[in-house]
Order: sequence, then C-alpha cells, then structure tokens
Amino acid sequence: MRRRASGITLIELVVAMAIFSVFLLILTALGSQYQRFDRQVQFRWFLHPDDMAVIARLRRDVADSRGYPVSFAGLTQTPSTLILSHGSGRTVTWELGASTAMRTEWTGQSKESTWVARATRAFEIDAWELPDGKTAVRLTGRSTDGGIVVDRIITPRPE
Amino acid sequence: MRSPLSWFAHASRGFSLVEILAAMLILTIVITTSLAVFFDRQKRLLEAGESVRVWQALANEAEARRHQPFGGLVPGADQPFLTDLAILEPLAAPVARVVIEAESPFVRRLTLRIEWAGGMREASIAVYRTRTGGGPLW
Repeated sequence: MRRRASGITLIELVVAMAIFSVFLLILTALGSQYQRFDRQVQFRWFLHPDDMAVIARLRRDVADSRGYPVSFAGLTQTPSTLILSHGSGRTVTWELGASTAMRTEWTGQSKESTWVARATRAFEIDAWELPDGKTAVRLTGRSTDGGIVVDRIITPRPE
Repeated sequence: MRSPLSWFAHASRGFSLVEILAAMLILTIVITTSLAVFFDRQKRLLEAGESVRVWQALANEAEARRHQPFGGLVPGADQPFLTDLAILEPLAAPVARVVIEAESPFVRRLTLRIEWAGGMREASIAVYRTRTGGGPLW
C-alpha cells in the first residue's frame, strides 16, 4: 500500500478557508457594531468624576445664592463666568475654561478659598427665565463633537 | 528506553487538518464570546447615557413646572415641554409630553413623560402642585 504523501488536499484547504471566512465574518460584524455603539456613547458619566463634582458644587452654590451681581472683583457675568451673592458679604465666583472650572469663595473682597477642577467638559452658563419670572442658571456642557451632554436648569431656593 | 524528546520528534510532523479545525473552532468560540460581552457592555453604556440625558430633561422640566403659576396648570393631555430639549437630539425620535390632571380644585398632578426609540424606552416623573394661595413652595 502506497503511503499517503505529506500535505493537505485542495478540498481540505477549501474547507479550512470556508470555516475561517465565517470566523472572520463574525469578527468583522461584531467589530463594526462595537465601533458604532462606541461612537454613540458621547459622554460616560462614570469616567468624568470632575464634571460631576462641578455640577454638584455649582448646583449647591446657585441654590444658596441670593442674587447675581453684574460684576465683582474685576469679573463680569459672561457665559464662562458666574457670580453669585450668598449674602452677608459672601460671594462665590465660577470661572469656566475649555477644560477647567475654578470656584472661588470670597468674603468682602478677600479670597477665602479656591477650588479647581481639571480635565472637565467645556461648560457654559446662561440665564433661563422661569415661568414665574424669576431667573435660573442654565448650565450646559458639550462633548468633543459639540453636542450637548449636560443641560441643567438650577434655581435658587426661595428666601 | 524512550527519550523524553520523542514526543517532540513525533510532533514535528505537524498537525492534522482536524486538529487545526478544532483549534480554530475553540478560538472562534472564545473570541466571539469575548466580543459579545464587550458588545453587551457597550450597549448598556449607551442605554445608561440615554437615560442620563432623559433624566436631565425631566429634571429641567420639573424645575420649570414647579415655578409655573398654579392658574397656568390647565388640565389636559399631550402638553408640550416648556424647557429646551436639545439634549435629546441624539436619541431616536424622542417624544416629550406633559399630562396635567386635576385631583381636586387645589391639587394638580403633572406627569412628565419622554418616550424614545419608537416607544421601546420611556421615562416619566410625576410632580404634584398645590394651590397655596401664595407663591410656589420649595
């Protein structure tokens, strides 16, 4: 009996390639779906604790505020600067940059404390008129592609 | 006596097609399962992100409705949101509406509801407003 020659036959090769093709097809389909979902998730809250901290602190500051001074210590109210009067000579200012947020607490004209959050979203502040005529603070944050990912309307507590 | 290296000498002849196919099958199962797990995680992240967006829109509307004069809370279904819904733009066909019901002449129940993904997903919150005779209470 003649010994079988070493190597594989064409049929075996075709079968192997067919199975491998199916494997590649599955991988490609899953990979493309994975990328599609990855693009859709614009903002992962759990990966941005500094953003959460900014929102929480700003919310508390606005809730405790007694008014919005037009200017204070060389600062004026702009989409990137928020000035909040807390009464009794206390003032809180927020300066929002492209990737930082700085909160300063003042007594009179003296700085009491400064807190800076880094690697944050690009936040913006706007005034939003409530149905009863009062003014709330609207805080918006955008993702790198410009879409809004944070939109919070924050109102001061009534006196 | 058989040399300890005899197995390698035997193995150097190579693998059979059946062995290669079995190995590829196992590899396929492992990689497919891993990808499926990552895919599921990504899908859940996407759903969580959508929920965060929707709850921000609901919280904003609740804030606005808390400040709406009681006289303006006219009972009726399918009333529009007072607040901006730009944050919902990435969602698939979001529908936001407010239903105001009069539970008594002094109490209004406001149900704020957002549906998206063709009604497959929804989130809602209810706000009770009472006629206090003065301004809105905290």
